[in-house]
Amino acid sequence: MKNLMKINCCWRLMDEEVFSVEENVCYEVNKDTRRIKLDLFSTIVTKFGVFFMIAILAVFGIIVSPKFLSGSNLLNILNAVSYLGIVATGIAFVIYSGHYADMSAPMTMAISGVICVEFMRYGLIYGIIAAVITGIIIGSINGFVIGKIRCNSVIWTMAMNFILEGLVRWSYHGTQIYPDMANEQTYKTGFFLPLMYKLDPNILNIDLEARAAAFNGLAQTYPLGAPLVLYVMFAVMIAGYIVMSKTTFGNQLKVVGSNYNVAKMSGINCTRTVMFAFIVSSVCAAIGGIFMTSLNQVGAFYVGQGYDFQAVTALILGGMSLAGGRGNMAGVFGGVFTLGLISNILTLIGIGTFTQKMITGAIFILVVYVNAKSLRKLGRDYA
Amino acid sequence: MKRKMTVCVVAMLIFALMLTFAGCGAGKETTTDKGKDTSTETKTDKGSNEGAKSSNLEESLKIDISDVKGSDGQPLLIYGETRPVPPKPTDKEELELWNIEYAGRTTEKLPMIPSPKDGIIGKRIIMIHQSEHPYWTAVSNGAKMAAETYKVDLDIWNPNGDLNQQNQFIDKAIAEKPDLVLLSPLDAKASVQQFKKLYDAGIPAIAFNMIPTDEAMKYVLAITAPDDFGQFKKLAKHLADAVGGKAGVGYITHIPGGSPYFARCTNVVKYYEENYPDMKTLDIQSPGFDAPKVKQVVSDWITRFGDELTCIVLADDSAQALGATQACEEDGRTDIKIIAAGNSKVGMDLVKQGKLFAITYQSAEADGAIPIKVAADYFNGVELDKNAAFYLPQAIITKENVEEYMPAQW
Repeated sequence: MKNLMKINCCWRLMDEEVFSVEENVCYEVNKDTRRIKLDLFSTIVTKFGVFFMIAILAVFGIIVSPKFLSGSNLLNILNAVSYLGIVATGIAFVIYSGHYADMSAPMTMAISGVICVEFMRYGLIYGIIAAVITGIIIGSINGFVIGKIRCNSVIWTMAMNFILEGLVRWSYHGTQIYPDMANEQTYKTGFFLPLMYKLDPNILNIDLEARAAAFNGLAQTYPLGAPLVLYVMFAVMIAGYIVMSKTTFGNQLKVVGSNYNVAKMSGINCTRTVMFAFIVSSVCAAIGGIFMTSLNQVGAFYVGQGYDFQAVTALILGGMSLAGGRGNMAGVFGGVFTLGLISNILTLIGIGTFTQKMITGAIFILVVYVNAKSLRKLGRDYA
Repeated sequence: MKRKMTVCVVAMLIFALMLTFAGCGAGKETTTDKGKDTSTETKTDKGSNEGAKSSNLEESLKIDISDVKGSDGQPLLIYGETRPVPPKPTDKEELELWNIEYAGRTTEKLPMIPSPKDGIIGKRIIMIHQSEHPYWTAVSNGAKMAAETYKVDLDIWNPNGDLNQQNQFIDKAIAEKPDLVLLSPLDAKASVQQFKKLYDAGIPAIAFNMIPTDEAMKYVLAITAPDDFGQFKKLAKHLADAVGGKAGVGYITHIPGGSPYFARCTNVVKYYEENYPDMKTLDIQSPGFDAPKVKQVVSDWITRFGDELTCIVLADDSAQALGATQACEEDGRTDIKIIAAGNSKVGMDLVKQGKLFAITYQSAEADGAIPIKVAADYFNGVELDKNAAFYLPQAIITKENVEEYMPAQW
């Protein structure tokens, strides 16, 4: 029986009188002796993904600078990428659902920051809630159009980004909003400021100094010596990990991302799933926008520019597939951290920005190539 | 019957022809009459126009601009210092920088469109700027204030950073035939065609904010801009004097390739090499205008250079300044002296808090108002220099004088 495979076949013939066949037949089949080549390199690359790259970079960093492994240096790297980390976590859900990217992230960041600055007049918490609600609204619109109407996600979110940019520029007449400024001119522009002023002209007399200080301090608060935004990034990533890996929604998202039609036929509510992915993305962008606006101490349309492409770069580095259904939160963190690490090491060596960009691009191509090749070698991906 | 019909038709045709000739004759007469009337009117108009011209000029010259101030309380319609042009250097590298620093100052210009010398009041001016940035909003505000002062009919067009749109605006302006065009070119090289088109159409043009190439300057009446190079030399001197002429300096640049990149980085490096040799350049980086990226670069510098890093030169006093100051604070290096190109609210607040050592004064409103002042001089018959260059007023803003420049314009 060692090299044999027993197959029981039951033949039911229409005309038993014409054909006389034995009902139980034993066939001997040769075993498939072909071997999958499990080379060590491919296994390591596939198993550890971007962390393999981080290990190489870390070794390189230790060689080039003795201060590389110092706590302050590592904290600086994490701090620098924490804004990107928050945004990338959200976009990871969109990519995981097989919808390439959320290109409306930059303007979601900007508009959420602006709304936060408008509402912080009533207190910081109101500002944060209003900004998050803004994110939910934008995400819901994106999710509905892409999930229900099946619009191309890149085209739609890009269009959304333009619309939001126009909206902020039109609303603010090309100016920007400072958290500590409150004069009559301030209340003539903006989304809700004119309404606030109309409802209560006394709003002009609100002492904004303390509230503005609280808002600006968001990006400059250091509980236990580390910046608050770093804690928020880890919290968002942990929450993202739980939702993506440990919940029914996460499993449904994986199926939707892997094969939309199969997911639909399996009874998964694809519209709802996709919509939720976009809401998560926009809420994360809104949280990133609040911190970014706080760091810049000004609400403006240009806050968050470029974060869409940076996030996608980090996610692909982290092993996310643009085709959807593959990747994890550890990879998201790895991708974001790799970008910070590359920039840090190259600056420590003394390499200029232009060369840094070229090297980052080359590393990006190398990582994607090695990753894709290793997966193919292991027969896990044919994309 | 047929005969009758033919006679009727012929008669009608003859009648119609007669009517036509009669009409033509009458039309000609009217035209002549009109011509006569017009010529009479023109004569009268000429007389009255001459009178109106001189009275308009007189009115224009009477306009008092001494009290016109920007929203920051600084005088709006005054020219800054114009530095003399040094001889062209022979060294290739130095010559490249010289060409940027003194662009248009020695250009052989074509004969300029003569001024009607009939006063600025009532003139139609079209301003074509660059984009919808808060800085440009302040530029527009300044231009509006100046236009109101000089009673100018001002149109402001914004191409939103799109060169094609700006080119279309040039064509539109030519079709509308304004008295003068103020143009801030989006692209120095593309501006050659833009200014040539305006020149060929007989519309005088002033380049503002961005200095175009020498080739474009042939067609330009005058240039008005912030003297970024001059300002930064002053700022660099202020910093060097404060640290005793000895320091390790890190530079965060503007977008590479543009004039501000050279003015706010290469210019300072060269200035220190020539005048303060102990002001050593440690590193030059271009992380853009993203505060977290700038923060990381400065943190990396502190890790890399330690106490050797004592000064930082920034190309921007907003996002770059916030990133740099926060990095210094987090690493406990508040002793590092940081200078930047200003003067936004964020920058001035940081100066006030003592986090920025000094910034330059670059009035966005004056950037929009000064070209209108130059236009006023042109229409009022003031002779503009052949290579007229009018710079914005300059100053160094420090903790001691920052209050004088508050509130910020943008």
